[in-house]
Amino acid sequence: MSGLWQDFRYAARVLGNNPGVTAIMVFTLALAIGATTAIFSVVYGVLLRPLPYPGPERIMAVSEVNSNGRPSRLADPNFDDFRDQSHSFQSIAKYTAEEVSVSGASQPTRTTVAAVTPEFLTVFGVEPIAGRDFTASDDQKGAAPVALVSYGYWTQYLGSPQDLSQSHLNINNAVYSVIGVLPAGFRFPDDVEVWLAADREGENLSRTAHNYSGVGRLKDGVSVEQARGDISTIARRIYQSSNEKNDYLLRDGRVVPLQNSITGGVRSPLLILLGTVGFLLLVACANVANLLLAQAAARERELSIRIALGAARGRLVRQFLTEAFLLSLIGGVLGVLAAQWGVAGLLALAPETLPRLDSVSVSVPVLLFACLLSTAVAVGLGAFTAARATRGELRNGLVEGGRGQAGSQSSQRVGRAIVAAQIAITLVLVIGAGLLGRSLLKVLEVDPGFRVDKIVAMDVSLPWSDDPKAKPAQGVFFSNLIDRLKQIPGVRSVGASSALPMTGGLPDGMFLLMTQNEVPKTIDGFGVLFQQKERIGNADFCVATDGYFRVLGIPLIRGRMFDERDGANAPHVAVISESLAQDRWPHKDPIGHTIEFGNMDGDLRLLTIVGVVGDTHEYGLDEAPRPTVYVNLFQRPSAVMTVAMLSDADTRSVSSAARGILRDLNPEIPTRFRTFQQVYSASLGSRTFNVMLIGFFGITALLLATAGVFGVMAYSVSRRTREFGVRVALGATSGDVLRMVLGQGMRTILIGVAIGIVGSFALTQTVSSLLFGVTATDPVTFAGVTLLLIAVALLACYIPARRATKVDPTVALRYE
Amino acid sequence: MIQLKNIDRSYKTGAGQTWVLRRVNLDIREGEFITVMGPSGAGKSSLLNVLALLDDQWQGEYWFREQPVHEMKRKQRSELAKLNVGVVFQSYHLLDDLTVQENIDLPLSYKDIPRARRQSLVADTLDRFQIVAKKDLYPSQLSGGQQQLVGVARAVIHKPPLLLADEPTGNLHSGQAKEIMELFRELNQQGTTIVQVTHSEANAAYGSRTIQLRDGWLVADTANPALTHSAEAATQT
Repeated sequence: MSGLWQDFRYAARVLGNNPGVTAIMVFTLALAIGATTAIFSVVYGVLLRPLPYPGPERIMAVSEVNSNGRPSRLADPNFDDFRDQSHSFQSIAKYTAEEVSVSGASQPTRTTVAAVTPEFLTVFGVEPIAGRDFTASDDQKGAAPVALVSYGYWTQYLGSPQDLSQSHLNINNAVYSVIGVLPAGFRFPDDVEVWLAADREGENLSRTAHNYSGVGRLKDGVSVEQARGDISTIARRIYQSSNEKNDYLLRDGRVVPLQNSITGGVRSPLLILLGTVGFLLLVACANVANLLLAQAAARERELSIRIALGAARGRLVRQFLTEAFLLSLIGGVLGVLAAQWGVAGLLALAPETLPRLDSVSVSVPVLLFACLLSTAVAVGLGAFTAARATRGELRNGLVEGGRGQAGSQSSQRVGRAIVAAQIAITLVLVIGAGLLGRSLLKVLEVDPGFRVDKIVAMDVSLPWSDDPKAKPAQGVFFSNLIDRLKQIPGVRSVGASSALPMTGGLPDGMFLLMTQNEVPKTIDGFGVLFQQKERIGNADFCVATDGYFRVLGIPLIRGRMFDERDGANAPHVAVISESLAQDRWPHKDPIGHTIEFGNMDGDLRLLTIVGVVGDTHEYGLDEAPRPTVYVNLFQRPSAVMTVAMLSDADTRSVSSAARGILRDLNPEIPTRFRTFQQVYSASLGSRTFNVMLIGFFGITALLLATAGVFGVMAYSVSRRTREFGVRVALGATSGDVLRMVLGQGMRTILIGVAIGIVGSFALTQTVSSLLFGVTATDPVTFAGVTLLLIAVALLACYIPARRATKVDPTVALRYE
Repeated sequence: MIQLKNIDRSYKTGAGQTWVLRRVNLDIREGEFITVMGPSGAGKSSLLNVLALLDDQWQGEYWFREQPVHEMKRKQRSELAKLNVGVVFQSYHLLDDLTVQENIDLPLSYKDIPRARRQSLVADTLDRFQIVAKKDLYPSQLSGGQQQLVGVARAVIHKPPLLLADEPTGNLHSGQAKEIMELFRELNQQGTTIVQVTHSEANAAYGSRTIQLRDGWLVADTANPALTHSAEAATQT
């Protein structure tokens, strides 16, 4: 023990005697350990941390699989069959969520409300902390409307009453009694504050109306594979026996752990980030290893004396391990502190689409990771340095005279090998960053099909009603709202649509091409028509006003826009996107053709196509435009709309004026304001996040590798002073020495570059899913980054090489 | 061959200026074998560095075969040295990463000599010094005497008219030292002018002339007895 303490004291003294070098090593390790810890905290919080429910590994996400082999939501009858026929789940539920206006509490709010079946809380192992859960009778058609609220909503908007009998909420023109309060922290799905019974107004009997997601808790002893097989069997049975065999009917069923379902989409990018920062850690450790190697070479005499005085080799190894441990300990502590800031920064920059961000923090498991990481770094560096420093015949360090410097040369060779490895890793990192950066630029080059700037968006959700008489009132409301918004100073144009581009997409479905004469007399007749492939088409369904296209700058390609002829009682009209026109009416004019799209809003009246508009990248710049049918808000009213205002005035003043107008029309309807620029930027959030992080790691690795090259070259020059003196004494010019030193440096760099290029070809395939418009082996990126790295490394070699030419042979050759 | 006139060499130190050579006047004739002796710090190695054209921070006049070295630029001096001077070091100063053959070839690699000619010269030298069998060995595989032999071979491969040796046998035992000194005698007899620095009287006996340095002054020269008396007088004042 006293020996260990002695080693520790000596290690502190050795490190303290070289404060500059020690500071560089500590800073390098802190940077790398801190960055790795910060990224790991995100990976842990998002991917690894168990869901905060009892037995989270037993909770499954249940879904259908569509004709494209992709998971899709559940149709009511299909969910019922899964629930009734499966033997794998002790509880299973369906759920959906949307943002609606909720009033009746202390103030009206735009709140995310979920519709769930009675076993929903049972699946999660959660019970209300006040009141009661849903029962089967609450979910029957015609049952009294009841609601569960979150703890946060209960405290913030209801005043935390213990007696819930006086708490009621107005949602979609119905008054809901609050029957229970859920525990603090429970908000599944994300952001939900209120839960309602799903089937109080009856089920949708279609097996192709996919409105719900599914969750289930496995029975004890049932594995995921068994449950998967069970659901798959039921799904195939449904397909075989169904009369609705079309592209929207399920082909199979899917069961995956709920955690995987939530985080699956971000698993790959996060693991790529973790791998990237791991590379940075390697580059940093390589730098520190080289510095330790140089220090060890300079201590050859000390080691020889220790051996001569009786030290065993193991004792020397322990000394080096202690020094490395001390370095890593300090670096690790500073790194964890840096990680705190790093995590805060990551959370600020993280895209909204990254799930479970509230689980991200520097928690105990993350600290444990940092501790293990620091220990691994310490052991790695210490073992490496000890192995190099204690190899060979150490007593030779005591011999004076010029019998050779084999040990020094060996150290230099190892140093050059480390630098080559650094260059290789850095090349891979910077190429990865380059590919992502070019992808982002390619995405930004895509014409979105709409204007982005100077648009203020106002989300309005009227109370939902199935009463046909309520629909015209919705149209009138929005008409009045739009007319008044147009009067706001600075507002040039106002329009509305059921969803702005890049906000999560529009509902889609199948429409029928048919004339008035072909309209079936019965519902079954529609089913027959849907079997005729030449009559059907797929498209997104959007409710809009003519002003919407003006505000967003979506061009009219052919025909006309909605106008005053298209009143509520006039024949219904539609405008379609250019890609839909080309797809369903190739080489023909779609103007005047009629379609039926009633499965989207229940209105079976035909729509006459009056215009074709430009395509928009509704789902993102990196996704192809989807075919879209736009219907007129004033003919096919919708309760949930986003009003868009094109304005030169200040956003705040427009928002304030618009809020006042809405309150004037109906004080019970809350709203939310955003600029469309914010929406657009958020849609690029993931891509930008990846580019920024990997770019930061790449640049840091480049700086570290450059420092590594410089350090190894400088060390090599300093150890070869005698050689340069001899060469000059024998006739070498400055140019000869410069060329020789640079040439040796470049050899190391080019070896590293060659390895890095091979590695890049192999590894960039892992980021191919994140790329757009460039291949994983894009030659421009590869060539550009390679040249950049060679140029930077050459510069790092040049300064020590110049120093070599200044060697005075009379000093270098002086007998020591 | 060489005339040095009033050569001074000094270094700036914290205390002011330290003189290592003071008003050195020396004439060296072709074919001479000169020994430079004196106590440590007398300026022997400094004088050799000046003669070798490795040092250009001196003042005075230096004539090499009637060419004014003191008026040449550094590049011209380097060229002159490359062609005319060979240096043998006490510590051999062989390059550890190069074989015997490569070490001997090193001075030729800095001249514009075709590869075939260089290979021929190296082969001749290896043969002349009877070290053909060792041509692929590294310095660490040779004895001290063998290393110095290689050092001498390297110094004379380009047949320089002037050979400078700084304590060439300082790291050798007497047997090896004798071999090296016999080699020097042979080279001198073949026409090479040799200037050696040594502490050894035995080595000095191989030379035809001895000069003494003390505190940077040239105080004695066996070729100029009058110098001894005037130098003694100068140092006593």
